[in-house]
Amino acid sequence: MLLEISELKKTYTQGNQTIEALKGVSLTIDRGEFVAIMGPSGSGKSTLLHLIGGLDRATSGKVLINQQNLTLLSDPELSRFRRLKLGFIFQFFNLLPTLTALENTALPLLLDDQKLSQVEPRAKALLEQLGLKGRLDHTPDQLSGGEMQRVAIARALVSDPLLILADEPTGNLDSKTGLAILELLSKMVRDQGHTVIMVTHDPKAAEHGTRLIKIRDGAVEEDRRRA
Amino acid sequence: MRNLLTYVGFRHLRRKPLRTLLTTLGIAFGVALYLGIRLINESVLNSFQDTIESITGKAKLTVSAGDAGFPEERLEIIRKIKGVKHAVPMVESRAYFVGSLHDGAEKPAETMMILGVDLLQEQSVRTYKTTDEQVIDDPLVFLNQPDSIILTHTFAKAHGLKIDSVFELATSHGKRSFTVRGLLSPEGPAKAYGGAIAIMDIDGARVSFGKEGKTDRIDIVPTEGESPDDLSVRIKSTLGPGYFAERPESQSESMERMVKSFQVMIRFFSTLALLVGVFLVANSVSVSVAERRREIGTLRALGATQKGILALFLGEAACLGFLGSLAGIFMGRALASVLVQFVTRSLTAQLLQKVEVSKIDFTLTSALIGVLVGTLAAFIAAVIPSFRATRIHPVEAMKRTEAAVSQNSRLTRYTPHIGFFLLSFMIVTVITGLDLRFPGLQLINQGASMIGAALLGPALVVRLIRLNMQLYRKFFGVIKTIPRLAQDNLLRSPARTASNITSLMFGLLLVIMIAVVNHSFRTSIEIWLDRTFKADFLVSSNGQITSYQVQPLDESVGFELGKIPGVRTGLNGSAYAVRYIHLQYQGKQIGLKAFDAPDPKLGYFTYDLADQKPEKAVPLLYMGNEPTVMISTNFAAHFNKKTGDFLDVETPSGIIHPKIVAILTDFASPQGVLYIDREQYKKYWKDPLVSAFGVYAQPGVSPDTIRKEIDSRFGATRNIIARSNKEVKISLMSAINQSFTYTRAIEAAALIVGLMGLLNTLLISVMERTRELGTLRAVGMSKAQLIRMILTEATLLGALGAVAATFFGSLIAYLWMTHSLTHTLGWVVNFYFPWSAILSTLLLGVVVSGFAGLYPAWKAAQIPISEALDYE
Repeated sequence: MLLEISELKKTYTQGNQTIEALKGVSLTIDRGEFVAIMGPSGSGKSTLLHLIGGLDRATSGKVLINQQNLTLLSDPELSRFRRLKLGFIFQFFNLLPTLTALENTALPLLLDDQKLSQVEPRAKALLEQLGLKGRLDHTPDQLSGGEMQRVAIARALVSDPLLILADEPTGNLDSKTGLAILELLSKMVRDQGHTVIMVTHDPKAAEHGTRLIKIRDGAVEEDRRRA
Repeated sequence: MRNLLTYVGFRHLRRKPLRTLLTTLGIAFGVALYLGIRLINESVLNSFQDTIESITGKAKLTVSAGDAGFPEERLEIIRKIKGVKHAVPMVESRAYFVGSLHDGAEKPAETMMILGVDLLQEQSVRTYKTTDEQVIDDPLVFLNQPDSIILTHTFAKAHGLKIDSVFELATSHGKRSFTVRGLLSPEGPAKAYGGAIAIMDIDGARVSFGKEGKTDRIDIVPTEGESPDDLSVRIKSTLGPGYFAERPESQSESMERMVKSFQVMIRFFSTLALLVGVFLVANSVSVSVAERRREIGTLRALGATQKGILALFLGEAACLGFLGSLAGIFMGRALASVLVQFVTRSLTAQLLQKVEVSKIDFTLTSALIGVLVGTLAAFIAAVIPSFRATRIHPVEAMKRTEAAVSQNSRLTRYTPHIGFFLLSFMIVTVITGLDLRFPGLQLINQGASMIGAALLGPALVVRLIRLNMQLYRKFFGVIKTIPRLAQDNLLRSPARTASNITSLMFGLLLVIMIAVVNHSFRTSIEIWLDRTFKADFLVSSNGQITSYQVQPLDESVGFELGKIPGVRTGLNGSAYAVRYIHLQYQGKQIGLKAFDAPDPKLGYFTYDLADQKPEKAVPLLYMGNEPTVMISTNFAAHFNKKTGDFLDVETPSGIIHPKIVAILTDFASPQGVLYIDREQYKKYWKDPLVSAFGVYAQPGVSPDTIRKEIDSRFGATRNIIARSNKEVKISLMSAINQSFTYTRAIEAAALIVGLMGLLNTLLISVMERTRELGTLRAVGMSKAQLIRMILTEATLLGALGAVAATFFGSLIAYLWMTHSLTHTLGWVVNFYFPWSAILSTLLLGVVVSGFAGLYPAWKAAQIPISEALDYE
């Protein structure tokens, strides 16, 4: 078991109101799974992803990744965990505009004080695998949407993470490019044994997952594995 | 529009309390400095006017002939002139109050103005009222006792003196005791000089202050129907050259002329602080517009007009300006009270005459001006960003895009070009001398150069960051991730970086310019003093010898000093005497120094000649029957004179036409100084008094022995003191430092506003990059790394901003000092680069910007990552 979530709760205060975004979610995810999380807007799916990724702190409950309880980590420990054990893919790619494709890919390791010369071969290899051989020195404004998302995927893979978290990875792409990205993610799971958790609105995108979890009103409504 | 402002504008200001506070404070500081300096300037001028009006009383004309006075016999001549109803003489002397004899201990020297009056005639011009409301009606009693003196109630109370108290004053014959015979209520002349005056009988004053047979001024009341201007012409033609018959207002105007350039300069510096506030408001409104794109789009979609949006943002800015100005007027009033003593000290040191301000004139008009200036400044600052708000298209505004505060609008793109144009304009007009031909250009140039530098400077900062990265890569290889990201951020949006640094650069520019002027003044004077002042001691009465604010001494003191064993005397057997007085030359006040002839064996170091060899020129000053003069470099510049020319100098004995034998360096007067042989001076000015004596020890004699002897012979009984060469230099340097003290407040205010500007823009910069910062945190950047990155950005901005400010500030100050300063302030001063001040400014840039970066960095680290990633 790679991920274990138990009784995870998250409440927000908005003005005088307290909003329960997650109402005690519990679930486990194994290595090599491609989990698609679906749900309507405001259902709590992004909150769940953020808590799994250590981007937010839970009000109560536990998130264990590879037996490591994220809720107990300090900020420096959590930051280090994110850069070395987790990979993130965002809807808007979130690449740094001033860095080249190669540097963007290497960023998590550079933040870990590793030298570019050390990490460059791996970043280069990943970009080449993703079909970006001729784009290494390009900055984001010189890349297409699909290329940017592939750089983001390379960045998510650079530290060989335990878990890849994707938040609407195809939400800002046309359907053809989106499909290519989803196939790439499936391939990563299938061929390389990576574990991916993807939040999406799109049922077609969710079909690429090996497991579908539906969230509604802060609770798991449905959790099924595909055959 | 009112609804928009009430329901949207004001609520927005309330929702962003920190930004509202910072912007309001920025305006408040700007207004405070602007108003504070304005109040001081007005109070100085009012004080001149009050003093002159209080002293002149009912007189419509005052006859004078400069510091040295004129023969008392002139009174009878004046009285016979047609149209003169009353002519009343007066002797004026500044004396040092030594202390009360009853309190045992001597108090530190304090200056007071002695008015020697003829009480039998005084009532026709001035009225003195005692504290018991009695007009002094028994002058004979007063006259019978030569030690009698009348003080103001204010002065007496401050020094614990009563009727019949005995106290001591430094006179030209040493310390003398005086008895208080009356106390004046603060009316008429008793209001002058803040009450630090004393009334004596004119003959007593003449004897005590070395003015036997002399009068300093005669106040004239004309007969009924007589025009004072006509009478003035008649008096001048009767008395001949060297005499002035001025109306009270023209005396006041001449004082105003003397301080005008100084006041223009400090007003200029204070206006700059206000300008920093303007940058701050402009930035704040820009951010507001960027943040509220969607809100503007919604309002436009719901029917708000472009005019309404314009009015909304202008209204918000004017509201902040108004609030800031309200706070600013109270801060300005307080600042004026603190700064006034430094400004008057500075004026006193520059003009070599006492400038006092007894009260700050804070009127409703001053307050209204403060509010108007601040509100208007904020309003003007908001015009461009507000117009930008009106151009936001409703459909575009609804789209999900990141807030872009520093858009590369056409205006932003051309900002460095505008700056370059303004700076070039200043350089060309200064180098070609156009600014001297059209004096209005000097004021325009001051503004143009500062604004030009503030607009062009940020472009230089961006280039420096790029250069810094290139050099680092060249010499050290790959830049570490955090500094790399920090520099990338700065380079990514030059417009944002420029707006971040503008306000701080403005403050730093001011610091650099003041440092250059200060250092150049100090160094020029220090070097000149080292070259020319070699006497072991300077002997004078107690007082400020460096500004010649001492009670002049009888020249016999010089002969007594000459008799002290081991003292090297001049050719006449006396210690070397110098007399300094103020003089009118072509309607301007200049200084005149009369020196005893130097002993050629000692050398001619006193004369720092600019165009002649001393061995050749100095003897010419002391040879022959016809008077000759040397002129200072600034006199040569102001009056366009050179060696070989002749001057027309008015003396109490008539006009003399001395030939100029050399040009030399001297800093005693902003308009210029004449050097003359003291024998000639005594002959034409009829003044044997001496301001100070230079005492040289003979070879092998210890200066300490001589000093002990001077102290024992003169110290206790005569109130004459000997200051060592080192002490005089230290005292002069400290006077110069004091005269620049007020600039510290200007620097501090400009830096505080600059800091707030940077803090504000860094916060904006953090806000603009929220999603990116969220991404960095998501991919593993720790809070500490994030803080480090933002602090690196801030300090790099500060350090490079300081480098750019040093470059532009030094350039402007260099041009100003070498081309315009002589005409603005009067002096010819060499340019010296203030290395230590530059280093401290660089450090200041880093510290201020680091400080400004702390809060935005902390704030950025607190943003929840999940929220940052969703930030629009």
